[in-house]
Amino acid sequence: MVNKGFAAVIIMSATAGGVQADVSKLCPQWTHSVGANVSGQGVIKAANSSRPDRVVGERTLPGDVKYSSGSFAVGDISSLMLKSSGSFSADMLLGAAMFLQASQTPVSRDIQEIVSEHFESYWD
Amino acid sequence: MEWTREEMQVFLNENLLKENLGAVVQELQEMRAGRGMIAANHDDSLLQGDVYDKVPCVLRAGGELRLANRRVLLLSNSCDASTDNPRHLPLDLTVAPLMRLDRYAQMLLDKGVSESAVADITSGIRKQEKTNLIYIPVGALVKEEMVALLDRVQSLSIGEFQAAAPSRLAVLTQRGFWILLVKLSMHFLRPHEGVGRTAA
Repeated sequence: MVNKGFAAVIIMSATAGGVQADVSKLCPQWTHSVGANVSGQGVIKAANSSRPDRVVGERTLPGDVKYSSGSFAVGDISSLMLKSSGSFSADMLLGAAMFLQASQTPVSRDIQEIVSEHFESYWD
Repeated sequence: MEWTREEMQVFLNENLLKENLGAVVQELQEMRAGRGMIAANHDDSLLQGDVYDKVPCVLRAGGELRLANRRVLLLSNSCDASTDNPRHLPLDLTVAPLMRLDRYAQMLLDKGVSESAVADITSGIRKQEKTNLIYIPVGALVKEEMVALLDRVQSLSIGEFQAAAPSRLAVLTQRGFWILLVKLSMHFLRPHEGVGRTAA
């Protein structure tokens, strides 16, 4: 079952990182550099990072897609929240979160009992 | 569960242009295929969602507790985890155990679960469909498919963590981080529980 209010909570969490002012409140002492290479990806591009430096794993791929209030690059759903603003990206991320939420199913009780009892014997 | 393009689009804003709907649906399909989720990293700071090897963890076996080095997914937020951010009282780190997916499957097979059922379960895990599990694909220094168990998290001090000098196998990409946020939200938060709570 999809709960739009709940998904909105998710989106608020997910999009917080895209706003400089909000992040500075959450993480006021975050000043160090963050860098990463994306495996198998050719381009790493710093964009509207929420931190002083580039965002880990942020990248763009060829084939920018234009939409009603800007443009974004196919290849990273989370980059949308960094490169666009307004209700469009919020709606899109909300939809994506609602989809992911709707696709969730719990592990069955029988399986979970096995995991609970034997997990540590197989965790290496 | 298989989702068609049309079924995915039900969740998206109907006012989106057609071409953008396609891009978002493609993103979701990429996510379910486990692509573009983790990255190699060359930076020293700890980041939420990092995959580490050889972190001292507590194991309970036969009624006894013992410590052993294991692979984990860092759940603590990056701000609190980073030693570059001074704290009067440093917070402990919270980690989720990372188990090899083939070991997870073998465990079920050994305990009598049918091959077809195990295949279904692992397929669902790979598509990020299990509420308490996060699938970590092969990539960077992660050589085998892994699964993080959110119902078995534990904590350790930053000092213990640093003393063990665990090696970072991978960091999450933006897509991976988004999945982590959604998964954490769904596993630990259920605001639509439907229970009326009143003050005593």
